[in-house]
Amino acid sequence: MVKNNSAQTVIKKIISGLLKKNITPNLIIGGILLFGFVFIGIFAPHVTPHDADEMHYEHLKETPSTTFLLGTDRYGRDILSRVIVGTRTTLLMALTSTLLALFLGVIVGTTSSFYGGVVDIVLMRINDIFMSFPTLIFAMLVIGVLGPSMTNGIIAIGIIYAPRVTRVVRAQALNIVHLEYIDAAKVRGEFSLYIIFREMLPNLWPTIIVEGSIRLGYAILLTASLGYIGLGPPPPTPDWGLMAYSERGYMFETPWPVFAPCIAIVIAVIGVNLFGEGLKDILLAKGSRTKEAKV
Amino acid sequence: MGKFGRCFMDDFMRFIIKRLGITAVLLVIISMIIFWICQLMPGDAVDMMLGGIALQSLGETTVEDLRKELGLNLPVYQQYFKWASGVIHGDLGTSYIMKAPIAPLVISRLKTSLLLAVPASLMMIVCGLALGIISAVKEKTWIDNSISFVSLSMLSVPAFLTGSLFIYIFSVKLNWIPPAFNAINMEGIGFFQMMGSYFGILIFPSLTLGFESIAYVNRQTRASMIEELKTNYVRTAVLKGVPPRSVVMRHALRNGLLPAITVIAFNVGQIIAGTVIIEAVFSYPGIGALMVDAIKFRDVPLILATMLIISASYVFANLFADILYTQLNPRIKYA
Repeated sequence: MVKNNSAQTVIKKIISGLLKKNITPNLIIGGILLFGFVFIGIFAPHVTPHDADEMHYEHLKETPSTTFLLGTDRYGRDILSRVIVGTRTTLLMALTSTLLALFLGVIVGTTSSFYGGVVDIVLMRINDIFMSFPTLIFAMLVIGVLGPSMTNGIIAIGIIYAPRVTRVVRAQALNIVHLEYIDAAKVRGEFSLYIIFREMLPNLWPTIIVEGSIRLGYAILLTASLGYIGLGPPPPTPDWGLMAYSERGYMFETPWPVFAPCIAIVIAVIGVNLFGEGLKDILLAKGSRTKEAKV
Repeated sequence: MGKFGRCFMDDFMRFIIKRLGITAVLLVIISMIIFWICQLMPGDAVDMMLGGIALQSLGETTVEDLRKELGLNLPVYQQYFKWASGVIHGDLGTSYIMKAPIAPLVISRLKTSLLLAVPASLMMIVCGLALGIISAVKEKTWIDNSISFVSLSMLSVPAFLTGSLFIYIFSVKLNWIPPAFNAINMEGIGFFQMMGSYFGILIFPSLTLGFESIAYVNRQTRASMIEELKTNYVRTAVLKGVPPRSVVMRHALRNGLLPAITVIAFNVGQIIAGTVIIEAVFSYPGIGALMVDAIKFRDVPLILATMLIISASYVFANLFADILYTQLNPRIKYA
């Protein structure tokens, strides 16, 4: 009932899903938005109409015009350029922290389900303790101690999302840990690490990828929120949350500096969520989750 | 009370006591984690209070005396016990920056925050359940589709965008509410005046605070109600001529409510934590804003106090949901 889903098979599955026109509009729209943002992020300094940090003193707090497509902020910096460069920090933080959370979550989740017994109980209790902190509050504490910077933001978000990934991965791993092929590997005398990474992990990839796409959406929102309360990258950095916060006092003159980065956040999150839904349709075909749960 | 009743009470009491015990242990562990993480902060209280220049001019002996006076020369676990026994006696310590006892400050800030959080939670429960029931009853019509679409987009919008939009529309454009709320003095105002000003102004930050949670509750209620409306007992009720309103509200909702309660409790916790962002947007002087300030000024006792209070309310919200859930669902045995 469980097919061999190694990493290549997952990619093949995605490609064959695409070829079989198993694609939903969600996947297309989400994919375009997500990879659009990634593309913009990679080539950010080359696609901005102006330098993101250049101050045009004769154009302060302007509304959109042909020169400044989204207007300028209180220092006369071009908002569109700053939003484009801001893609970089936000996506980099969100993606890296999601990967960190997945990495930690997969390790703890698989270990916990594989060994079971006391190991499982202890790890899950620790997991529960970390889950009883609100995400934003815990991230604030970690950043408060380590100091606000991109790396520390990544560590904070990664740590706080890891227990949530662990839970999902463990639940799925518990379904396969009792199957014959795992027993066979044990009887063959394989090492635990081999069984976890070569026998169990391939069947967990679809779950991990879908969970990763869900986490990425949350991570973008959390990154932006941290930036907003001033615990993201420090001020001159064009960060979406920070831009929205630092310009909010000038809304009486022009609302663009506040709303432009916010809209970018919304589009990015919607893109990630749609893409995740599309991936879910391909990887976890309808009913497959419940079917596997009965195994 | 018959034999059955006594048995039930015993089981229930045992369950409550066990749950309370687990919660107490959890709170102790949480406080330990918070305390320990705060110890990792570079520099100690004396450095923060005096600053670099004062440190040099005072000389080592005075600084050491000050450390001793604050109990910073003790090992970490002794410092923790000192702090924890203070907390149990209602003493949250003294703020380094404000040089004032923390407990009264935190309590007054908590009150102003609850002025947002309680109405936000009520709004979440009422609106979330109502919208969820409506979209389940009208499943796959334009009403359901539009509610689902709106709630899905509510989940993709950061809270500070909703807040900024409210400020832009109602403060900048319509001039109904002040752009910053820290100037409003809530002390010494009578209850009715407070309610009046509530509906005038505070409704906006509250609504922002509850926005995301409304969407979560709505989605969960919709999903569980759709499932319930397809069951045999609902069909039986419809066929024997029970009025539709009664079928939905008295038959299906009772079971459909159970999964929603867990989501509601989780979101009460989220709302309390969400005050951090909302208070930054509206410049509202609540506990979330206090925590952000504490972190920015690296005021360790204040960070400890605010973190502990916010985490504790989160834990208690979940405890309450657990108890309510088992109370409402007779199928769950008290384990």
